[in-house]
Amino acid sequence: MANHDLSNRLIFGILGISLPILLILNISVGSVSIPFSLFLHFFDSSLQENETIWRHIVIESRLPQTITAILAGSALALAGLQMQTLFRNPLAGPSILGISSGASLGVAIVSLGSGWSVFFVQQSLLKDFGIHLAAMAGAFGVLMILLMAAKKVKNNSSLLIIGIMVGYAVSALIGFLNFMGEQGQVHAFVLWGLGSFSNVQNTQLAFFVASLLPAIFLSALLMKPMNAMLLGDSYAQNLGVNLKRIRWQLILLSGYLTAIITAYTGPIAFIGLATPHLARLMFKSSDHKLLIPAVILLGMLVALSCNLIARLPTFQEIVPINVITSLFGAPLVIYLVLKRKNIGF
Amino acid sequence: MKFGQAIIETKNLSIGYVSKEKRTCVQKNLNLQLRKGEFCCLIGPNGVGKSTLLRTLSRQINPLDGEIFIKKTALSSISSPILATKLSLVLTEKIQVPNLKVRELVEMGRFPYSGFWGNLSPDDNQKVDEAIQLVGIQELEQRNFDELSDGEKQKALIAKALAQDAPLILLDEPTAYLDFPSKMSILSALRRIAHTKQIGIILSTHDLELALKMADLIWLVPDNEKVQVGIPEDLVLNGSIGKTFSDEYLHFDMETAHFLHKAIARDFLNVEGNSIEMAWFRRALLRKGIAAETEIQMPYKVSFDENKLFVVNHQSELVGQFQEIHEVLSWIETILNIESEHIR
Repeated sequence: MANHDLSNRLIFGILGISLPILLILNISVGSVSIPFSLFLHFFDSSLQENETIWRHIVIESRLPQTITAILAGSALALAGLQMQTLFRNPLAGPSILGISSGASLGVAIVSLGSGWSVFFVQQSLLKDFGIHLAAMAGAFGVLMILLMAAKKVKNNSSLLIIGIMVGYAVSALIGFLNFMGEQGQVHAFVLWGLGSFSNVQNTQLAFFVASLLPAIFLSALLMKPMNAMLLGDSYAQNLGVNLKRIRWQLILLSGYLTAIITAYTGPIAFIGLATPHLARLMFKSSDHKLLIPAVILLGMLVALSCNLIARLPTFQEIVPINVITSLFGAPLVIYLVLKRKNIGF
Repeated sequence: MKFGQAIIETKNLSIGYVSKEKRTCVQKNLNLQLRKGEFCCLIGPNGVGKSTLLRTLSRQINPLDGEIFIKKTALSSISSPILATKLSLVLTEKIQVPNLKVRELVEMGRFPYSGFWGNLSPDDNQKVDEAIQLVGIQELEQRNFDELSDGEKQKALIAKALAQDAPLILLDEPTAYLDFPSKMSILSALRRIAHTKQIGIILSTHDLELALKMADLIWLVPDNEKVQVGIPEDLVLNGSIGKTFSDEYLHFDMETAHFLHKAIARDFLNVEGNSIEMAWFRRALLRKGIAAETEIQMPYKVSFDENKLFVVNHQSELVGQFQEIHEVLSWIETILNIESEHIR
């Protein structure tokens, strides 16, 4: 046991050290390279002209983007872990249950549809939040369907199938809207669909952070019943777990986290599905007391790494984040799975 | 009280399934009772409702009628967290969790007692140690659960159930798919635990002969008949066991407590002697479906002589001497074939 704890601490230590390094890299690397020396006198009033520009870039662009990446990474990874435990299925993840498709549908209706929906959004008081509101409405719409289904079907696999089917149906609607939309609108929608951490402006950042942190905190409170759920419904029930309640809690929390993130960043592939697997393989454990902090930390690191790669000068900030997450992430996970030979939820 | 306190008791219990509009009742008017320290085996043919009974007793499904009492408290009125401390389960469903250490699994049994974050107190850890020792899986403690053999998995699950520290443990076919030594070792461990910890244990099993050997109490669930309760010996003597499990090929032999193939060939020989060799010879005969006649004088007689040879006599005339049983058997089969050709 002691040996086990030691190696886990070591891994946490390494991950912990990588976090500030990646943070600084995320802020300094980009089409405009920001020297490390700037951070040493960042808040000085007397700066040279180019330093003032750098500071402006950091505050207006790099910092909100980095914070968005951190929160999106940890929230999606957490949602993925919650869904995998809930459905006891290694393939479950935020994009599987149709929740992110729901968000896409909301955005598609606003950005591709003509007539009343656009009028409604443009007339609404929260014009800036238009797309975000639409995404959230779509995500929660799917979530409601899932919750109603959860009430009807007792079996988690059935619920998973319903989620996947809802996802297909929603995607079909999006396809239809794409087909009907004007070229310019379709292009804009496709861009949103590729995902980006740079959509959250400084003005929205506070709301973004405030809506995510409580959900992340509440998620951490569920580690004990989540551990019991690993044994299956009957054993969990026999241990005194209120199955109905924990199911609702997990569906609501994972759906909420996915909805908020997708609304602000577009559907981000891979991170939610793969980070829990990375955590299990790294720590060789299924204990949620270990996995929950692990996926939060790993989610941040994965998102920051992907963002960093996407922003490398060679890519000139034009490569969308989803291309990076899938292109670099998928081979990594395949390699790990092949190496370990078995993978679970 | 003379017999100790009842841990679980059913009053006019009816069990079965309720689907949309159909109510399928598999057993009704059950008045069963299990006392402290009793190791009870639930036996019966397939499909008579053994699993349904266990699922009803553990509140996984609701009774159709009647009531269940755990230590005099109605089961329906016990809250889930409290029930977790009264009754623990070992189920047939597979647990597939990667990287779950056996000790971590046993620690899950402390779930009803541990705090909000699931951290274990020294007392919890002591109970976990105790459970692991009682089942005798100390050497498996740090192994991964999914790497264990089926028998070791069952033991780990039993340890988890023990760590739950409940006065009643229900097990659904814990010996299925196990090899014979594992079956024996699990049943004897359970019996020992029931006696030393003075808890009630009910398990369903298809291993009839083992159940009759090991159980303090049998709940026999026959097809379409009332559940019979008793110690194994009484149920054998009153014929309930034989009646429930015999069919056209098998019958329950009261002397040996074994299920035997019914002899299909006609009796044509006597078997003499009670040596170990002759006992094994009788077994071989039974497997071949040949009945050895004991009362009436038959033309052929087999015995084992002082020269360690199987001797076959035909009307007290020596017709064959054999060293091994298979030789005697093939000789008998030849004779049988010749005789049946005569008839033809």
